[in-house]
Amino acid sequence: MTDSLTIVVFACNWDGLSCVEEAAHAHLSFPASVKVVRVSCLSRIHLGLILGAFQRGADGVMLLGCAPDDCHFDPGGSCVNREFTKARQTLDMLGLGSERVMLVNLVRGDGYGFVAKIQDFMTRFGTAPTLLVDAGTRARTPRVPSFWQLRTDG
Amino acid sequence: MDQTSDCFSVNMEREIAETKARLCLDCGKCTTACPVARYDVEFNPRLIVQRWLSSNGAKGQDPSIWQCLGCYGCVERCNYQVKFPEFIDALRYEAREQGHNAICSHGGSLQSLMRIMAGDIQQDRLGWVPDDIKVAEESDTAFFAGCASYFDVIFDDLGVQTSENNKGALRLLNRAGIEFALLPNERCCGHDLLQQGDRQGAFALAKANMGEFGTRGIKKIITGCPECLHMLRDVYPKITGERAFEIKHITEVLAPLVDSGDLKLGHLSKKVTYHDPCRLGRLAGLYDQARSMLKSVRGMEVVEMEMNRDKSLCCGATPWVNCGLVNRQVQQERLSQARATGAEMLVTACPKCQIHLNCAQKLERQSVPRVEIEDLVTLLVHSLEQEDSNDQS
Repeated sequence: MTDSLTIVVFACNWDGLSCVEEAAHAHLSFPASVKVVRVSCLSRIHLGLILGAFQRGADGVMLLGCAPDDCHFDPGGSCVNREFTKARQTLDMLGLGSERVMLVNLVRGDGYGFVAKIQDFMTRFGTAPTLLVDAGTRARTPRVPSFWQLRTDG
Repeated sequence: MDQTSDCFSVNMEREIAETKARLCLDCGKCTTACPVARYDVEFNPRLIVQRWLSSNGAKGQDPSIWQCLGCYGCVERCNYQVKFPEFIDALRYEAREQGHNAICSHGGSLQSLMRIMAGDIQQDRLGWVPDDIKVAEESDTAFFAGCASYFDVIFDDLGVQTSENNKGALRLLNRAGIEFALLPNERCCGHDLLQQGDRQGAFALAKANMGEFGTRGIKKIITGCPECLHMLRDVYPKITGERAFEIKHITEVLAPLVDSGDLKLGHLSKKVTYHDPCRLGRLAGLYDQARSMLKSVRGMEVVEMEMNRDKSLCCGATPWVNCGLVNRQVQQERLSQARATGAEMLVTACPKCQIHLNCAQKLERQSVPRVEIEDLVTLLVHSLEQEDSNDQS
């Protein structure tokens, strides 16, 4: 059930990504529906990217970065915390739930930790139906060739 | 050419005809009035119309179309009232269909937010409503809060809390004895998606909102946001083909009550200047309501900026796209005009004007004039609070 959930992981280029690579080296398995996007630092992530992932059909977004106080760029931690808080509040208001976004800080090369966090994250909303929010604007809404056609179609 | 594109091009022609662009005299008044053209020589409304008409629409994408603020300043000056912003909307729609897009401000967070809202979701968005505000469980009148609660989160860094405007509006409605309900699953009105050419998204939002109004039996709507007013009053009837409800801006509701003495305002010693939001002024023609309410506050002095009423300068807002140097320059000019009046405060009635004019002041440049920005309704509520505290002391 949870295998069908699409999780977008924004992993920082440093400790975050090393955990994903270590999981692969250690032959640990995690669902193929987990999509990893490498970013130079989690401070690159902003609300637009997080909401953009949900708009395109993600069920959850994980922000995977370096251990606290070990960021390669000094203000990185505070930047991501601010955007993480904004994302949580926005998702709560949207009724999607703040548990759909998770900030994870792991030490370098913690492949087991990464897989455990992914499993934990997926069970958080494992029973919720898969969100197809993007379909709301793309599939469910008929293509409307013009302003006026909609009126005539009712 | 398939049937859809054929249908599209026919309708495009019809839309262009409705904007009266073919009546253009080539006089250039629009360019003189345009706030963007003042700072960007590449942007020229007259030439954009001319280029499109002379090529009969068959041309590549014109990148300057994304710069228009949609302020309707050009329409005010035009001899034939050519609806240039609507012409631009049509071109943007066409450009989007061809795969072009604007550069989204704020990382595209607002566009994503709007598109998520267009989906099948059940929001939990009324957390901002304080306990002291009386909200009817069921009523045929609804207060359309707009996206203020989302703006509070997204623009937290600016220190702008636009939900305060809504709280103020609800408190004044309570005071005036007007009953209203709130809509827990209200969506964005779709103004910004429509203005950036995403009609599918805007129509999906409009349909979701109309469904919400229908289920709750809403017949009258009051809103504090001029853009929501424009959408619900002027655009929704075009989309649905019927006018299913009456819509009023909060100033339209409160001003007559203040004038008749049914709603008393308080005392506040301040010199203020009023900034007309484009959608409230030029589009809805509501210039006097806000001014008469400000003048009804005892101790308040209202002064006018150099450009006011139908000549009012836009706050430099766009539908959250292509925000750049030109927009900053427009904002700086507006703030300079406010400073020149000697007013302590610039008062506006639009949450987006509030956000943009505050954002402009975040630049740490000496040249940016500093002016306190306040929402009209919030200021009226402050005047009452001031009076209450004076009474107690």
